[in-house]
Amino acid sequence: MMDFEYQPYGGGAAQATTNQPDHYFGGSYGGGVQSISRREIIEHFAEFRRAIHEGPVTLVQHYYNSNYETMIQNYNTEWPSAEALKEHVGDDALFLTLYKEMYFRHIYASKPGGVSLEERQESYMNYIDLFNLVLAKDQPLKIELPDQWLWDIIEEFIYQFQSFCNFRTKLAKRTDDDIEHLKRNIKIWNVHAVLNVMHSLVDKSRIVEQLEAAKKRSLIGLLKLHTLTSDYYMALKTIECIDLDVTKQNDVCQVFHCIVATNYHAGFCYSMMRNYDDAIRVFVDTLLYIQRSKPIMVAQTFQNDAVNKTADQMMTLLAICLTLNPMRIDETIYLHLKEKFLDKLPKPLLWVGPDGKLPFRDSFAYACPKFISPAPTIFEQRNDSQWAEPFNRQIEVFTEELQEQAYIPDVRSYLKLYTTMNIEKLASFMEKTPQEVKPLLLTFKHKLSGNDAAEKTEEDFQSSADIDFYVDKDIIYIADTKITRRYSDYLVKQILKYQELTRTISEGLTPRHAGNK
Amino acid sequence: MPSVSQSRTNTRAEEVAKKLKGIERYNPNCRPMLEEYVQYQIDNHFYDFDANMALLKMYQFDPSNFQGDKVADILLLALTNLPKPDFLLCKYLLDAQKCQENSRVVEALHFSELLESCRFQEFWEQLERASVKIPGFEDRIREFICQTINRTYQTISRQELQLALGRLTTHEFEGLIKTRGWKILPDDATYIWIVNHEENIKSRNIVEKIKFEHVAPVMNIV
Repeated sequence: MMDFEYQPYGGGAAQATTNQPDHYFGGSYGGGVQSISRREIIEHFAEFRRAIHEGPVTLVQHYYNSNYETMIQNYNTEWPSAEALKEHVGDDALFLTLYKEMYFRHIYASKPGGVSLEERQESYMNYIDLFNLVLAKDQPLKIELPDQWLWDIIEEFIYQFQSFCNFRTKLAKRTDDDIEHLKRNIKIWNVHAVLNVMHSLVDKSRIVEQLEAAKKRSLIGLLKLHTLTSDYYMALKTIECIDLDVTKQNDVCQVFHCIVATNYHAGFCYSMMRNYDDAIRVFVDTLLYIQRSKPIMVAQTFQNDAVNKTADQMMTLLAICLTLNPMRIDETIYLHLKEKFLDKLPKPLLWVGPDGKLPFRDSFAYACPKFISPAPTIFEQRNDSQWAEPFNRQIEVFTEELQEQAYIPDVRSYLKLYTTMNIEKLASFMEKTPQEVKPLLLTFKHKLSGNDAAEKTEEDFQSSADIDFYVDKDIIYIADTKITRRYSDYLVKQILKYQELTRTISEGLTPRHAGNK
Repeated sequence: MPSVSQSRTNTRAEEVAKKLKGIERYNPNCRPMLEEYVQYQIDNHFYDFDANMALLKMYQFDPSNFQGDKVADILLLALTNLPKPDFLLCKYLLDAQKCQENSRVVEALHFSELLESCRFQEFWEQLERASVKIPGFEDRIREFICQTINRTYQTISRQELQLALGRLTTHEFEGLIKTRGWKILPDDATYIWIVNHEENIKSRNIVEKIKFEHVAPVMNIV
């Protein structure tokens, strides 16, 4: 049992009960007004509950998915309270906690700005109940939850924590009552408790096989949490055991959005630690994977928005990394990138606009995770500075890193023009002294060489940086890598296509024989 | 390092690693141990990045316990691991304002800027004026500088090299050249041979090699 110190909570009953009419008008999602009666909702959940207890897990998955299609997207529908449901399904503690998790998820989705402090607190208590049930020492978990659902629970848990951090640091809008309440209940959504939950899930799943999937999801939850608190070292360390190759991940876990989220966070961590090679590789792989998986995406409509947004964010980060570390990548991705994203970035990245601000900040702000501060809130400072501080700190450090690399693009563009160049000449191009230019050459090598040239294989060169050099006395010797276009793939595809076409046409032209088969 | 102290530091490192497993990593009770351990690393010439990050994380969770001097020590130790991005990773966890309040932290930040932009001569000048009490610090930094020079230069002027390596006596300087396998050019003593880059860094024209398996599906059609 996890040892959380929280105020005693009578588990099971939702505190906020309002008058609940019998009929609801469903939301306008997809046009058309649907009316779902309260009775229909209750019946659906009663059947859902039966499926959970009797299985198989594919049936549970079906109910879970249809849940989303019909109910979570109907933002105007108010779900019946757990109390009300209890009357119909009996005192099934586990099911009721699972139901309440979905109930609160619906609230967060349907009123993102307006979730009250009480609702946040109740949802937190419910999570504690839920995880306590799952992690109960003496009983193994008797039901099997589909992967997708597990991932959604963990993701929602972290999301609500993030939302709470925003809530408690955006002090300009908080009422005095809210602040008093927050001060008295600092353990609610406390960062230690959240970390404790994640780690307990990881530890418990070492013992219980069933929870293997839960373990992977929890590790990814931790990856997200560490990235949000800007601990990129711990974030990557936590997922050391997960191979980021998308084909390998797909073998193990078919939850599409989970794979995308994992790789987004991993790639982001790599870019922040200046490991642009790995960041680019992860982003390109994942974007290709998303492209290939479009048919699946159509089926899971409720997750599409999230995946599309993450894909856009990855594109932006990819554009930033490629600007800092140009290298060859897959053609289709590159063309798409060029069209939409590379032009949005200022050149050079640190270009200062006429208003004295750095426009690249906007791109970065869009693409980065929404950082939070795990430190206790100082309630006396009634403004939003504590909310803004984490992001400001991250972008400040990232900008300083860019400033150290500021001259590299210029050096690169001059070097590309020649095969040998005297240092004096480079200095005069850049309007600097030779003494000033020498550190720039060293910095170029320091920041951007992954492996030394001697170890590179031919395959590495396919995707490596476009230019390399060395200095002999006062002369720079430049090497560039030209790769001729690959035609074989294209030709093979075309040949097969035309063969198919020829076959279809010739079949069409042969007279049909009446059917003896 | 003599083998006795090596095994002692390994055991200590293992002990600390055990205490930082799982959720215990965030237990505030570990903080005094981690703070002591920073000094232990300095005294024993070794470096434990993982433990130092755990301490910085604690300062992030609870800023009232922030110890500027410990942070400065951690940052200087991180510099000794260049070219790895340890220093950068530390920076992301630090509160900007608290950093500015401690002069040793400000100094460490400045050292990092100079080293990361390879302004080595300026770095040694700054170091002269500071008092960094970490034994072996200069040697580790010199190691990083030598690596970077190795990657960039095939032949470098003697004067350039001397400025980049800071205050060394002629004896020490020549000793270092020998240890790294560098050579003073026989016909021109003002230059020093570093490494043969000509062999490896040349223009390449990569032509596509078509493998048979690739085109086999179409062989029977064509």
